[in-house]
Amino acid sequence: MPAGLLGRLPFWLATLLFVFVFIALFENLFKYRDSWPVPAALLLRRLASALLQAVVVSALVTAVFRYLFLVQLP
Amino acid sequence: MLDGLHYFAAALVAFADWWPLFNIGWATLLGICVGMMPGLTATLGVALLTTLTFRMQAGDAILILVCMYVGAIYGGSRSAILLNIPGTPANAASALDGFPLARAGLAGQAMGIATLGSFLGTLIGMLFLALLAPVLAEFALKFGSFEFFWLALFGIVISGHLTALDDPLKGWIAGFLGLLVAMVGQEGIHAYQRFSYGSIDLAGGFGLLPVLVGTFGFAEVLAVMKNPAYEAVKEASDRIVPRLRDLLPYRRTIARSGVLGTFMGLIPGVGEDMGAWVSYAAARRASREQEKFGHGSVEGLLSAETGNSAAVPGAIIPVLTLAVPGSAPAAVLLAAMFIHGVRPGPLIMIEFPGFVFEVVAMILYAGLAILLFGLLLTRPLLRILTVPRERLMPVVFVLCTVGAFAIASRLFDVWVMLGFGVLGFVLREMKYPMAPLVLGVVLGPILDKNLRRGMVLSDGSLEPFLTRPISAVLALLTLIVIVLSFKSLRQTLASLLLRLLPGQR
Repeated sequence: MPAGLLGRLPFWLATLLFVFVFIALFENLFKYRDSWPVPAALLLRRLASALLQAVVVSALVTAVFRYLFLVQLP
Repeated sequence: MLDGLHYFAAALVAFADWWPLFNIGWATLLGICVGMMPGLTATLGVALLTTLTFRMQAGDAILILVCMYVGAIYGGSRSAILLNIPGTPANAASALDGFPLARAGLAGQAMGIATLGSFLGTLIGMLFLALLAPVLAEFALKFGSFEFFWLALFGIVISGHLTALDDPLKGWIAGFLGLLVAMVGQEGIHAYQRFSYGSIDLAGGFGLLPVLVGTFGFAEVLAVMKNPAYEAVKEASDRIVPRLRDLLPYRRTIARSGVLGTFMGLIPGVGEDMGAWVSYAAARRASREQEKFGHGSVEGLLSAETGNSAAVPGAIIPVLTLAVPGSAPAAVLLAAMFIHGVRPGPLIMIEFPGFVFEVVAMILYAGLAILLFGLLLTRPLLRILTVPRERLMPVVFVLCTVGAFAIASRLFDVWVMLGFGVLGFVLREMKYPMAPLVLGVVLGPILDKNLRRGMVLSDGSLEPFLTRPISAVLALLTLIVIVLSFKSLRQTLASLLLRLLPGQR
């Protein structure tokens, strides 16, 4: 990824970070805003699920574009 | 005619193999899912899939894109019925009667009717595509630079007029903004750089796909996250497959909506939205159950869905014969055809005579696929609507970014996508329509090249633009659309007509 978007990071890491932060922020700060404070276990479960989705999306998108469509990702 | 049938039969047989059938299946299903999700439009689906299929064989890639297009326009009816939020703008009319039907516990019936309406609309549009495309292509051989210039201008003006419901001026502003965007970079005759300000990236111009992915993808992500979350009707316990005796009374509505939808699709840049609205309005005027419209009318839902689905093949007719798109998703399809080395336009029946009928066969298979998936997978497809936007939108954004980059491996395209995403979002918030903007970007080079080529041919004279018969007709049509757009001018004309024809009150 270029400087200016998410700093100089490899594409897979930038994707992982973006998806994780997006889900974590929008779920906890907006969607479930009214249910704060939430128990730590529930918050951890939500964050872990966001991280899992981020890892899967990052791995799939990177693999499909790099190895199937032969795109030289940054 | 017989040649056409021969090509059509050959295409049907060729697509009946495992690999094409597999592609038809997944692409249509994906199209239905994209259409179902509020915020994901047919244009975004076709644009993203273009970036994913550009390394495939031309035939496979175009088959996948056509299936995505047909599937997405149909899929939008699901969210219109179950959420009262049209999945794509083309399904707005379907929500008027679909949602009241769902609220009355008839969600299954409404989805069945929408499915059958879409299938029949697709078939009617397909028939017109097969019949009209060769005739129109032959007629278009008479078109020279002068006519193409007027056709491009007429496309922008009519698209701006019909898609901006409150104020045509907004439609024209969007259209001319698109034309301006298309002027950036090397021009098409002498490769002279315009508006590039010494930048190598700008000298290459704004790519159509990054612009489209931005205005329809990133802008949608922003819009979806801005709007409040939605709650879906998650149950459909009534009968889904419609009975023939329930539909037979509406056979005239189906035929009328199919024809109107196709012709609305045919008009440059107007597309499925207007196909649905015009069919819905005509059905309401002719209906014996006018009072039911807007309160759960089967006829209303049927007319809207038949109209928007018939507009899909309708919008492909000018793509194939004039290289002018009939709608925003058709604009992406046109770009994809150029990427894959198919050159649509007046010469298509000479250079690729079988291709038109291959597209007809693709549409038939896509129509059959929506019928099959629509009726068999109703309940599993309901689950799609339960995917939370917080989980879906980051994935869409990642696909927009990597899709914009993948076409030319230029980081500049990612910035273009982001810039046009923000611009598209702001314009949409101010109620500017997006279809004329896209049409402007697509038609810009056609308009520019043909204007200058025409001027070279006429030695600098503007006369042939107004005196050649087809040019004169197109110029007159453009003028009529502009004049009729202004209320005061319309009223003046009407009173003038009344004074001239006093008996015609």
